[in-house]
Amino acid sequence: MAGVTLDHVSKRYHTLTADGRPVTGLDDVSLHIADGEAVSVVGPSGCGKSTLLKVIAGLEMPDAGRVLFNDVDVTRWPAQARGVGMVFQDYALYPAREGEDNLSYYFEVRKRTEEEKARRVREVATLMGIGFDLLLERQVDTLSGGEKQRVGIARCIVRDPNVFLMDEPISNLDAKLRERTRIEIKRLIKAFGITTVYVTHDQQEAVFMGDRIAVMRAGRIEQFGAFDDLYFSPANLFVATLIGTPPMSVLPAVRRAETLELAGTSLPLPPDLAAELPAEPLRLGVRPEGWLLDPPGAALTLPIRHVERIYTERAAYAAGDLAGSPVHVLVPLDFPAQAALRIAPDWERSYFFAAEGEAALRVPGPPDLF
Amino acid sequence: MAVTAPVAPPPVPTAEPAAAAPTAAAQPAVRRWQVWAFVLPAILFQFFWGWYPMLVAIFLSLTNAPIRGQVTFVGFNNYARLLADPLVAMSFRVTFVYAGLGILLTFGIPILIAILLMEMPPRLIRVMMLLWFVPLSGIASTIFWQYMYNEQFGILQFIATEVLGLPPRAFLSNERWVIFWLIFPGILMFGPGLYYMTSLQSIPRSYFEAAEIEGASFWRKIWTISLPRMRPIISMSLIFAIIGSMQEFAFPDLMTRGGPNGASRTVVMYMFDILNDGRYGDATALSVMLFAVIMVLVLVYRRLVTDDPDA
Repeated sequence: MAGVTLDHVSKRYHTLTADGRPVTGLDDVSLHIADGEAVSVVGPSGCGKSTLLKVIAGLEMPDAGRVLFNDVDVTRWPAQARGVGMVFQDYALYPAREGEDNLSYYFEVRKRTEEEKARRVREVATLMGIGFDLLLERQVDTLSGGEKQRVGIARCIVRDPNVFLMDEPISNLDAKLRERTRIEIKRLIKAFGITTVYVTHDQQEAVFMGDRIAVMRAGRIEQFGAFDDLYFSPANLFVATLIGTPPMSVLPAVRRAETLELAGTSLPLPPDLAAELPAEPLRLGVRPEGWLLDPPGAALTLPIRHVERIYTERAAYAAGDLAGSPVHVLVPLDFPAQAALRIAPDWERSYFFAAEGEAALRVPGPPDLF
Repeated sequence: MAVTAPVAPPPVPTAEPAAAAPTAAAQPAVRRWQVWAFVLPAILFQFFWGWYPMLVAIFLSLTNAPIRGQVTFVGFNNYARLLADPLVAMSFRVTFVYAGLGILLTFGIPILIAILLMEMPPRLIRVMMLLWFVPLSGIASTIFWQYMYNEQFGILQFIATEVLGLPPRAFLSNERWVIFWLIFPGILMFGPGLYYMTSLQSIPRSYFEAAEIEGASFWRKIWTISLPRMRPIISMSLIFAIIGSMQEFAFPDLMTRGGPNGASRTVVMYMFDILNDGRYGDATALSVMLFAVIMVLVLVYRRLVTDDPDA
């Protein structure tokens, strides 16, 4: 096993994608992943997250910077020398072969003994759980998506990789199977304690799979930290709006003396907060749980467009628009149907951003739970 | 929602299936008529230009097949005469060599070329595909190759003598080599390469990346990923190649007219010669023989290359 370090890695492509845009590379990316840590990389499509994975795997060579496994510089090492295992979105199982042959491919390529091959395949089949040996006997083209990905993961485990690399492994599965496979992968990662880099475009999946999360955009890492850091101390507006479901509401506002002008209403600010904020236009960010319902004193009136009840989470969200921006408010599950809602931001849980650009002016910071 | 249950009028549910039943019964009849309307032109075409001539050919091959006058049934006399004709045996030998060598040289090589081409940068791949598949007129390229092979002024003779310093050779008038030189342009023309390249392009890159991580060499990747994925298209184009090359006619006829001494006269070319002699019965019998031989080859091929469930 190995810790992985990226040291000022850059990668530029000179090719264009099918629709004529330049392929996103990496722009001065530095990242340290501790031995045994699971890290999620999340970002919109085309942000360079797959390139990051390929640079770690050795499938792509960086133009500048270094890649280190446990302080060993592997930047110029070919993929097969790095001992990584990779799981792909489209499974990439070898065609016209049985599941078992897919697992033993590595041993055939490396000319290992038959006993070692058989022993490892058996061990992995046991680890993968009930019914897995049945999959091994079947031609891969007869397997369902979920079954294919289980074989794909087993193929990765069978050779004891230093680093586990997963490129959107469950994106092609349907919702129910996605949930199950997600838990399965999490279980395996925990069981092996292998350093894992998990790439996804789904922030909820990223939160679930990773001990820490790297948020990427346009070839750069915008922020790297635990979920609480990203959620309560986002580095900028992009990270703040990417993490969290439903997303944070962002409303234009102006501070005047001790009040905040917001959607035509003046809300009094606490004195310490008023002193911290510049007296100029800015943007207020409030998460669904950051609104006070029916507060005493000045309040905003949110016309309710619809209420979405999510019984599994024992919550409901009232949705509407304020000053042209969508607003989601966390309300009790037994929230009665009504046309409008009186709300005010909870200043303790509010985010402030500059009116231009994406700089964060003030964020609540992770809550002190203990 | 269920409050209206006692109020629900009983006639409505009974009336509805009754009204629906006739339309449901009428619909298949209309549909069947439409199906025939769509299929009939194709069936008629296939009958008059496919099955009918074939059946008539089999019938004619058993008669004296005169242009006019009484059709006389002659049994297998035509076949007996053909089997006794040494030129028929020779033309079949030429056809087998032509088809065998042709498939060997023009079928396998494009697979390899396509695989190697796909390793090139994407822009170069596009240029190569364009260059290779610029549509060429058959007659024009034949005339072009006649010039290439010209023994006095041809480019190939120039390359052989001036560039390589070899003694001058008789390309198309050498009985031993004429078939090879007739096939040679086919190697350069790249055969069904476009099919191979498109099927290679459809293989997701992740397959090769997965193999690369496991340490597979270039050739191993081709053997375990490219070729299995190309297998259905290879299998299909091989059948077409067998059928097509057994009926080779236009190119050798224009290039050599079957010479020298019939060394490049294929079955179809000989059939054409017999037709020109007015021996229609013999010509149809020869065509039925060729049909039977091709049929056997295809059946043997289908038996050898079983359809793989995952291919």
